Amino acid sequence: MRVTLWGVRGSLPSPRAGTMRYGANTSCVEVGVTGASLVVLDAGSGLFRLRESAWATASRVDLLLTHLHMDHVVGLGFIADVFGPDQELHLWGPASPGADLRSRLGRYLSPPLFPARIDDLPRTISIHEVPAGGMDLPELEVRADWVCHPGPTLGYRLSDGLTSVAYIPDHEPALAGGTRFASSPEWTSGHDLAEGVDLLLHDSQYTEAEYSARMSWGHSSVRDALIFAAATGARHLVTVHHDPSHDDHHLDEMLDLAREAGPHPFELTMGSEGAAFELHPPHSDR
Amino acid sequence: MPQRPLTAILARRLAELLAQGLLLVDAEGRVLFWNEPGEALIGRTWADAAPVSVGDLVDIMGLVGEAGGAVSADELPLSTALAEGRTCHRSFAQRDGGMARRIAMTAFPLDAPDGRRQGAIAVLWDEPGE
Repeated sequence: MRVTLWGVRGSLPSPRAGTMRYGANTSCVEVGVTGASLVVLDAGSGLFRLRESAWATASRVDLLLTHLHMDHVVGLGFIADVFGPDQELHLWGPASPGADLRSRLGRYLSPPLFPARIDDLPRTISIHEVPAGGMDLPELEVRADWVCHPGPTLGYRLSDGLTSVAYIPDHEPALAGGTRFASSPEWTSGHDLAEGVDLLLHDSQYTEAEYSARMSWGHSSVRDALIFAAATGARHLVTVHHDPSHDDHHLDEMLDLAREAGPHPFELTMGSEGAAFELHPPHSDR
Repeated sequence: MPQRPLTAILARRLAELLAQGLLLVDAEGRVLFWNEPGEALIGRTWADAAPVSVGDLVDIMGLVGEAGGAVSADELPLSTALAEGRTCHRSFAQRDGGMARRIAMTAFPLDAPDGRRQGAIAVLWDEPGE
């Protein structure tokens, strides 16, 4: 399985001279096995960069949304610029008791917020609400579960039968767990999605000082992401959803502090745009 | 033990922080938690509780009908919330040694955004006599 990051910024795209190394685009991750089909996780502004991917022309593309906050869906309006008319497109997202997924997406993809309506986009897109527990896609098994973040928000775990990746880009596990956070798997939001996973892409937006002033905003500190990764037995933590105010230098410092807090029972990487991860089963020949 | 549903995790967190008595059950009617204010009304600490189900609560709490008659587990608001997916309220008399008091209970279901029933939660309070 190959996992490529096309957007690792949270909340707001943040292009400026000091953010080019880790990247300025909001959440978008590509997951593929053979290239015959493709899974895209979230449609932030990073979706536009997916055009650079050799697998962007896969005959079938499944785009999985964790939730409908703007930084995770803003790229949808330009989906016709990324995928061609001959590609089968499926868009998946969280259910909500209020309105169906198409209606909720239509709040963005309609005037005055967008010049075209979702039904007018020059692409045929099949829209689905993620079924309870997840679904099987052509090359990947998808598990989905609700995670602690404002509004109906899913985390995903993808597996090809040999390797697995968990994607929880917007998550505040410490808020849900309180004193039991991470010490009790039973009471830790997202635990089962990330348990023993080969690659964990997890919200790590804040420093500890920032988080203390932003509790309940729905995001995690780097420290809590480290705790979560250790508690779930993830093999490799990639921090994502970088705060738009954090430039490359600041992110370097956050990474240094995170490394100093180790040793960690997992590999640690600060997610950056364009980074690719080839997942191999343990003890396989690489 | 598999992870609890997010609704249960968040409900427990809320229950721990509130001054009202709260009791949480899973979709199968197994009691997951009651908070400290609830302990005073239930008559037992959560830490001392053996695995408990909704069906055990009548005896644990010493509940009888307001007219003094027996109460079945099915008559508990939690049972209605689980079975019928609606909010339900009822008051009971509680035998507490030689004293009787009124306990009110309002329960509602915990349904995930996709509609799956993941449990129910009840708020309990001491209802002043008339």
